[in-house]
Amino acid sequence: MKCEKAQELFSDHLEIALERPMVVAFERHLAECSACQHDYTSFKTTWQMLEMLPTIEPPKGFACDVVMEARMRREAERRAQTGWQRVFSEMFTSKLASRALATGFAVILAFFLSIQVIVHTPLRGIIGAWLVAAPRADVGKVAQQPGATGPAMAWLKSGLSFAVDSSGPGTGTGVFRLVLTPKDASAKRVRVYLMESWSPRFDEEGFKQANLVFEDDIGPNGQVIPFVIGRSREQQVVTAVIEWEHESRKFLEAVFVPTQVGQRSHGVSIRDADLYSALQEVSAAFGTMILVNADIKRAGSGINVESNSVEDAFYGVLKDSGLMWRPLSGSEVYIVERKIE
Amino acid sequence: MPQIALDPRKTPMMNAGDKSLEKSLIERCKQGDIAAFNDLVQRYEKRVFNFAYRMAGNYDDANDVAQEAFIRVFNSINTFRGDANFTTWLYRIVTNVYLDERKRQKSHLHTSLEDYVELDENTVTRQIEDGRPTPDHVIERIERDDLLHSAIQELPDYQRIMVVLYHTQGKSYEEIAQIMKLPIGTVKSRLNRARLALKEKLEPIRELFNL
Repeated sequence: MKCEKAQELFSDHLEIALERPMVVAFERHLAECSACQHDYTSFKTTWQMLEMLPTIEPPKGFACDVVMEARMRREAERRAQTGWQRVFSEMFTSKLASRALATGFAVILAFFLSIQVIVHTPLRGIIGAWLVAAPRADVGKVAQQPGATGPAMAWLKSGLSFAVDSSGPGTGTGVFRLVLTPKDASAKRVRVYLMESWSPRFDEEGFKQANLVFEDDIGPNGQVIPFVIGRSREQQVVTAVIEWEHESRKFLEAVFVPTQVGQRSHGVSIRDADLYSALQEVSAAFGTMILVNADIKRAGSGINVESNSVEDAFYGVLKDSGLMWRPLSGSEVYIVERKIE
Repeated sequence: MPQIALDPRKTPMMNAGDKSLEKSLIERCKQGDIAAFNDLVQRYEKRVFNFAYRMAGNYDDANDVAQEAFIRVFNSINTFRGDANFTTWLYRIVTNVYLDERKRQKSHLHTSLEDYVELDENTVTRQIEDGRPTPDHVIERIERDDLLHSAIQELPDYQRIMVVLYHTQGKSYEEIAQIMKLPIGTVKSRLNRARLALKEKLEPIRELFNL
């Protein structure tokens, strides 16, 4: 056997993929050729080194970034299409037949309705009614952010304004944007953690187990931090914790975000919970986002509440804590804060 | 000479439940369910990112390649009919994204794929300069894995793809043949050459690490 042929067989020999006669010929050559013997040993070592290459961790929040980028590109494509292009692109998909039928039905319905409108109602009145019914953003901050659409709420807390936006295309799919904006010109160091467990802990141990999705300085232009909650997961609430410094003091704020905002269950049954666990249960049961200081020293324990109304549940959870709650009008957001003495 | 088989391929086998969950996620993705897409990304992000990293050579480019690959998956999921394994389809997309990116870079740089030429049966890399670190340099600041990683980067694209798929992704020859749409014999012989080429590149540092 020549050296060249022997080298071709290195992999097969190591993987025991050679026929017996070839094994004999190969090994005889190696026994006689010190160069090939050396090469074979090096080859084997190289193979072993390759198998020991370490695994690299993707960046934190990689999946979330991918999902948001995919969604934003799709939205941008849709916006770039004209109305008719969009109608046709949506019609001519794999479900062509059913969509065509539905479109035909819609056209006929629209035709009859328009006759009714023209006969019975001044057109201007119809447009006015639609405008009143259309959802509006309570706070303009989020709507100004690139990619953020639809209603959103914003709050100001110790030098940092923040909002959670769960609307726009994809509502109900568990896609959220956290929008943070400093209230002065100075950049603020901000960390955002996601906690997926029940009974979240806002101490060192809790943060160790949490998913750090953002850590950077946020300038006056603010920062949009997207995160996604999978509907298929058993967990119904994800807790976003925001940590920042303002005037040399550290602040911690938690936002309980339910996967299905606005989707209410029959009620809540809380047994022997601490304050944060109880609020998390309320968030899950009533589909409400709850914002609360995550640094409350006496977070209480032994809270028992049974209720089928969100107001009663809040009352039961907070009655002995020195805290109060208030809803932000027109939203599914509740703020928990200290009672004003 | 006693023969010790090195590493029978270790691609994790999916059980029926995993397979069914994957199928359900794909179907939901086809309906535009963004949460299902998120779950699908989380399921494969580590494998795709590692593949991209060993291909692209650095963390930032790996991030770009992996992200772009997943977005391509999202945009073309309706063309996935399920004839092939999803992972085979996914790896093919990552490979194509990486090669597209290389082509794009090639239009900006003069030293690129042309530096890899087929001289005869063996593919030889024409080095513009020998950028390998000196032994002293090696001892001072570079670890063995980094050197191996660098050596992989010096391989021609098609060899690198195969080496990474086989040795870091645990793909079998059959799977690599499907991903690259090549005969299995070609995959085997090219991989053997790639390992030989790596062996040569690592020769100068072998003694330093007592290998």
